[in-house]
Parts: sequence; structure tokens; C-alpha cells
Amino acid sequence: MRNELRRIFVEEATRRLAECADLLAIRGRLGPEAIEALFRHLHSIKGMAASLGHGELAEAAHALEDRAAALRKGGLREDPATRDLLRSGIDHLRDLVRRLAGDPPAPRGRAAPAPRPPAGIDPGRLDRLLEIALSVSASFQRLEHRLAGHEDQALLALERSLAEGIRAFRREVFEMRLAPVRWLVPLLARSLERWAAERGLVARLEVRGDAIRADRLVLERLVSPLAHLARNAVVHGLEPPAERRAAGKPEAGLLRLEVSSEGDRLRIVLEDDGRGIPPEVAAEVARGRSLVDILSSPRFSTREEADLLAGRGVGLGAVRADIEALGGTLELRSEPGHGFRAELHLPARLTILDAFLAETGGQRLIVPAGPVAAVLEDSPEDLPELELPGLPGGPACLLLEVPGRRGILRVERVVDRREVIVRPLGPPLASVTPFVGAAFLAEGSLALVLEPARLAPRVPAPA
Amino acid sequence: MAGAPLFLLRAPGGTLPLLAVLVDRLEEAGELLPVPAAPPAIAGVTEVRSVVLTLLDPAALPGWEPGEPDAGSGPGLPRCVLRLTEPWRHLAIHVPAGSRLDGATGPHPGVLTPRRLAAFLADLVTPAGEPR
Repeated sequence: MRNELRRIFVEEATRRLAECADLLAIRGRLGPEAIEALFRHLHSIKGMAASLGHGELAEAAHALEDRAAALRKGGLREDPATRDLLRSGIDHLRDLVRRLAGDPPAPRGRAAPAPRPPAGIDPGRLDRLLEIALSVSASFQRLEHRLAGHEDQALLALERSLAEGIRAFRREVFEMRLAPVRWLVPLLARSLERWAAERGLVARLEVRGDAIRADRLVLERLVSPLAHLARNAVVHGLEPPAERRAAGKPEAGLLRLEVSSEGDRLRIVLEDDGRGIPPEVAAEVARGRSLVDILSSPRFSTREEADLLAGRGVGLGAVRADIEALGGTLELRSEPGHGFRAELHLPARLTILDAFLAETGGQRLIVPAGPVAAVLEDSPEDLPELELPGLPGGPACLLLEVPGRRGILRVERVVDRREVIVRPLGPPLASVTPFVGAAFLAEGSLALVLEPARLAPRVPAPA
Repeated sequence: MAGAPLFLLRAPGGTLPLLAVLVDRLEEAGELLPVPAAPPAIAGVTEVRSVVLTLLDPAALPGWEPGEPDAGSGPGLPRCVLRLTEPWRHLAIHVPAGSRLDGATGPHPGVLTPRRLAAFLADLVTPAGEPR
């Protein structure tokens, strides 16, 4: 496992350092984007090196990251001397990575000529690219609408060709966003090792299906719940070696991560072979309550330390909320003495929402298109008006239909209809406002995503 | 709690002492988008490295000590966010421009701890899920 982790780290660090060297090999000044890219690469290398216990590398990357940060904030002058300083720092880091890989030092000053993994793309840029792809699609849909009924064959041929191009563009952008689940494994492995060592336990991680790919955003969102589940397994599941021997189990506790795909969805199983749930919890399950409901009931520890999670399952509410926010489900199974199993089902790709962009009170709002029955110029008098808390209404009307209710939402302007990527907001905001998410707009700003089912009828002002 | 490492967030208008274990990292913030009808403790949402974060107003958090903090040296930080650790990775504390962040060692009366933060967040929502 250690060798595998080292190999992944070496590959990733080599790729990032080669990109740093490329940035610095360009003649002339480093622009803000290049400085930002340098900073991000160094920050990532530092984080990975530290989490894998490569202290010297982490420190060297940290020192260089500080320089890039100073450059970014204007505290360090961008001049040939600074660029030389950064180049020699990158060279030093490359030597350290090569040493880790068992290779001789590289020749100084230029990007390594040896083959390297394909260059990665800044995740932020990938997000922007996707927003643009969605925006182009939306514009094209409007164009198609305008062309309906047109008989100019040359124009229609152009339309078909454009439609094909846009479909291919979207497909490629979605493909570019995919990364293997393997990306999560080093973090899990290193954390497992550290937590086990702290508690005098022996633990090993077994991974199956880690080549399966998912959107990077989904993977990023999985880091926290998976780390939480793994930590619970070590802290509350795995027994000390002597206890395991007495129970007829191997001394080393096992944590197994198994990933499989179900069409566009992921199935992730994380299970351990530890002591399982206490008998009193098993008794509650036997009375008909689901284990996930029992263990995710909200209760926080009274402990003052960072270790907020005092018992098996405490904090599983947060894990469940994270998974559900991704459009997924969490199932738990366990028996006293026989391990603990968490099974996650979730979309492998992003939540793309077909929505209306509206403006009111200086705020841009995303209204999901599903519940919008019509966009009207005049409000029908026989329908209740829905309250948009904290925002004024306007002349434009959206007729909303949610189960058991119809109503009018008034806004100043309905800008257009488009597809957006939704990022969930999570608690407490999603619990206390009608906004459940935010979306980046192709124009470069953020907009709040409204949940129409949460809108209450407007109470008429007293006469 | 004696000797626990902590941060002193010295912002315009006061100081927030908080345990270092609550802080994941300090990062420059993007555009701050206010959220209509949100509790006053929520400053808005922002994007940091393609992640949407809900920002907490430091002046509304338990432990906030009103008063002008020491001037210190230098211009202070640009507008930033203090990203929180588990289980609050979707949250961050808003660090207004001109603030400073200093390290210190406890004990410090009224310091923001994980327990206090958890209680504060729970208090923002009634059991029925309605704003208080």
C-alpha cells in the first residue's frame, strides 16, 4: 500500500512540478493566472507530501508556496530574480520527488523531457468551461426555437452541424471532469494508518473498483463523509490485537472500500471487520427502527476537543446529510461482533438543473424549471401569491406548481432559461431559508437556487 | 483547555478568540453574495476554489469581544475566510478586510470551542426547521 501511495504521489507531484517548470520557462513576466496556478500546484504538493509523511518535501513545498503567496499578494516583487528563485526551488522539489521515486536528479532549469502523465486542468477552469458549455447550449436552444418553421436548407444544415458540435463539446467537457475514485484512496489510507497508530491498532485498507470514474466535484464532496466513516471504523469498530485474537480474528483490522458503478450512479461500500454495534443498538434495530435512523439522530458530544464524535454513529447525521445533499442515500448494516458496513448510492456526475434565471431586488435567483407551469405577464387573480422572504416582487410572474399547491411568484424580470450546476448549501442556511443551493453562472457570478416547495403564501398587508 | 492553541481574529469592531482546532485554513474570499431572509449571523455565501461556503459573521459568534482591537503593524489581511474543520467544512468565518489573525495559547475566557459553535448553529434552527 505504501509503495502504491508513493507511486501515486510521485506521479501527481511530477506532473504538477512539470507544469510549474513550464510556467516559469515562459519568457517575460508571470501574470496573475500563472502565479495563481503556481500557488495551487505548490499548495497541493505540500498537502499531499505532508499527509503521506514526506516531511522534507512538505517543508520545501511550504517554503516555496509562501513565496508564491507573497508574490500573489504583492509582497514579493515579480522580477527576474524572483523567477530564478522559484525556478531553483522547483528544481529542488523535483530532485526530492525523484529521490523518493529512486531516480537520479534531473538536469537543472528546464521542464523534464521524459514522458509524463497528461497535464491536468485547474478544477476551477473546468467548472467555468462547463458553465460556458451549458450557456452555449441554452443560447442554441433559443436559436433553434427561432428557426422553427424556417425553410432555408442551408440555414437548417448549419443548425444541424452546430447542434452536433455543441453536443460533442458538452460530452467532452463532462469527460474532462471525470477522475478515478483512486484519487480518494491515499487520503483514506494515510488517515487510517495515523488513527490506527494513535490507538495502538493494526489496520489495513483493501480497495476494489478504484478505477471507476466520477465527477471531481462529487469526489471532493465524498472526502469528508468517507473520512468520517473510516475514522468511526478505527475509533469505534476495530478492536485491539489481543481482543481480536481472542475473538478468532486476524490481528490486523480490515477496512474494505469497494466501488462499483450502476449506470450513472456510484455504489460505494465501506466496511470493517470490527466489533460492530453495541447490543442495545441491535435491540433497537430488532424493534423495527432502521440503523441509519438510530445512528444519525442529531446529538452532539459534550466533549470540548476537536474530537466531537463521542460514539459510533454520532456525527453520522452529518455523513447522511452530505450524501443526501449529493442526491444519494446511505444504508448501514451491523451486528454485534460482526463488523460495520456503510453503503452509499449516489450520482457519479453533477447535478445539472434546468432552471429559470430571475432577477428581483438586485438579486439573481435560480428557479428550477420543473415546478414552473408558465411564465406570465399578468398575475391571475384567483391564485395565491407566494412570499419570497426578504425580496420585493415585480411585474413578471412565474406560475409554480408543487405537490398540493399552486401559486404565483412575482419577480422583477425573468432573464432566461438555462442549465446550471447546483452546489448544495447545507445546514444551517438550507434549513432556515428557501434557498437550498448556489450555482455559478456563465457570467462569472453566483446565484442562489430557490426551492419552490418552501415558499409560503404571501400574507396580505393589513388594510 | 489550559494551553490549547487558539487564534485571535482581530477584526474591525472586535476580537473573536477561537480554538485552533476549529480552523482548517485561511483563504482569500471571492464575491460575497448576501442571502435574503438569512439569520443575521450569516454574512452570505461565497466561492472559494470552486466550493460554495456559507459565511458566518464573526461578530455574531459566541465569544466575540466588541471593541477596537490593537492596531498592529501593516495593513492587515485582504477580505478572507477562515474555513472550518469537520463537521463544518461547508462553513467559514468571514474575515473582513483589514483584520489580523494572531496565534495565542489558552486558556482564554469565552473562546469559541466546537461545542459552543455546535450549540450556536443548532440554535439558529428550531426543531421544526423554522427560523427563530
